[in-house]
Amino acid sequence: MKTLTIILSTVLMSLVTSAHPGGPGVTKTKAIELSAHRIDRLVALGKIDAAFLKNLEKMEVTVVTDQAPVYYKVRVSQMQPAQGLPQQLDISYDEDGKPLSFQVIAGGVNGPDMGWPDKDAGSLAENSLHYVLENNTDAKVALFDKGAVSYVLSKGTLNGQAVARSQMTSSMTTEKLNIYVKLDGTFISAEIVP
Amino acid sequence: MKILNSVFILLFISISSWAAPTWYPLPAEAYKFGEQYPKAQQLLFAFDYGHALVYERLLQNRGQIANPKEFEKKILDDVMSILKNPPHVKVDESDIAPLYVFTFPLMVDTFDWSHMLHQYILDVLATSKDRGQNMNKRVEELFSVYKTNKPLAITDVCKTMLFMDGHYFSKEFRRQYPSFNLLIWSYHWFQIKLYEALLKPTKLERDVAVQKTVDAFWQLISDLPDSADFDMMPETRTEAPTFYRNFPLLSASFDNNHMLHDIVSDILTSPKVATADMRKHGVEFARMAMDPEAFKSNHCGSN
Repeated sequence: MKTLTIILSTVLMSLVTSAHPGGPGVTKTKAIELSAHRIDRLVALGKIDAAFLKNLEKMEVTVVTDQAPVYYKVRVSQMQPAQGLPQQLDISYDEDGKPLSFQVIAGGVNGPDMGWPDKDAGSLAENSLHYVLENNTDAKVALFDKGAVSYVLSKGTLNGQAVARSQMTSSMTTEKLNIYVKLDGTFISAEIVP
Repeated sequence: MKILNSVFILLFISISSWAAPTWYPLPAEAYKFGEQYPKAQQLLFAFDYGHALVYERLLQNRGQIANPKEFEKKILDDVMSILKNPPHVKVDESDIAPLYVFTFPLMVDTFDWSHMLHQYILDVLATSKDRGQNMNKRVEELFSVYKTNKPLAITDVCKTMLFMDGHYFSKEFRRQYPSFNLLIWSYHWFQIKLYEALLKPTKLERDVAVQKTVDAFWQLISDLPDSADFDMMPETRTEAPTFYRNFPLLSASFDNNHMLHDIVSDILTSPKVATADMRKHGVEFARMAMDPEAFKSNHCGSN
């Protein structure tokens, strides 16, 4: 009986503490995309270094279970330097995607300048992530929307054309999602690869 | 030949007058919102003034703004003064912003036509005795009138944020002038929130909700840019969920209007846009706002 009471209490508590018993109000990919917007604003207000927008390389999202109301934490990394850790920033959100706080991680080292010629890295990331958010009714894309773990932006070539390549990983599949946009941010194509 | 000329002139006049933003006959409810909620109504009049003033100053000073922060602060002070001493009637944009009106003729008419719809919907929601089907039907009637003016009606098909942010000049305004931008997003937030407030079932609840919205607006702009914590343009779906559920197409049309405002701000601010191209862009992007296929989202009407 005692065990049953504990189980019931735990179930009840988990329902009470979440505003969305059916799952969070925004997906993991949305939390990553919101981070691109957040960085833009923080840079515009002079609260973080502009290099976070210019040289953004990676965003990783995790679900936080023990720091309510924090639900998502997104770690944003600039380009990897030759030695040491890159410049990094943590942004936390509630389960509706409302930003709660941000913190620049101490000890980061500046990496190389990616030299994006047209759009900054933050805008390229945002445009690429829109592909996932707009196409999440596709079952395979939905795995990346709901299960996103990491997002990495790099320079690439597609059919002889210089492009921005975004690669996403997901906890719900071993496959990877590549999204290609032109250097001005215009969507080109996407593929899911083993 | 004379007859042919007359036919052409008549045809031209009929086309011009069809496109012109004149809502005739005026809805019976027109401007009744202001009788019930004068403070909120005057703020709406002040927003029109504020928008026009910012656009005009950006145009007049284009390419000559050596210190964007100082420029922003100066206009922000002027706009705040207008908000604190708002006009009691709708102002004519051509009086305040003649250069803007000349440079963006289609955009100005498109906004005017949409703003009339905004206003009359508020008037209906504020005054309708019936709070159910008849009120909703009246809103839809006005929306139908709006849509019949095809040369000016913004589409009710929802667009992705790339409509606003996906161009070579995008985001320049919010980066150069974060306080202006957040002020404009606060205007849009206020308009959306008023719809939600006016859907409360009782008059007392509506009165309280409208007053709360007015108070919250002042709080939002109390210490810009920090006081308005918007990373993205406020959208109807999130800020006014009841209104969005009841009127999803109308909501999409309003959101598209708000995105179009951001597009104008970016065109005016971005050094990448040649001055000679502004007028052309004004027409292109207004047309895009009307085009149901341009930047169409796959998630229209979803929650």
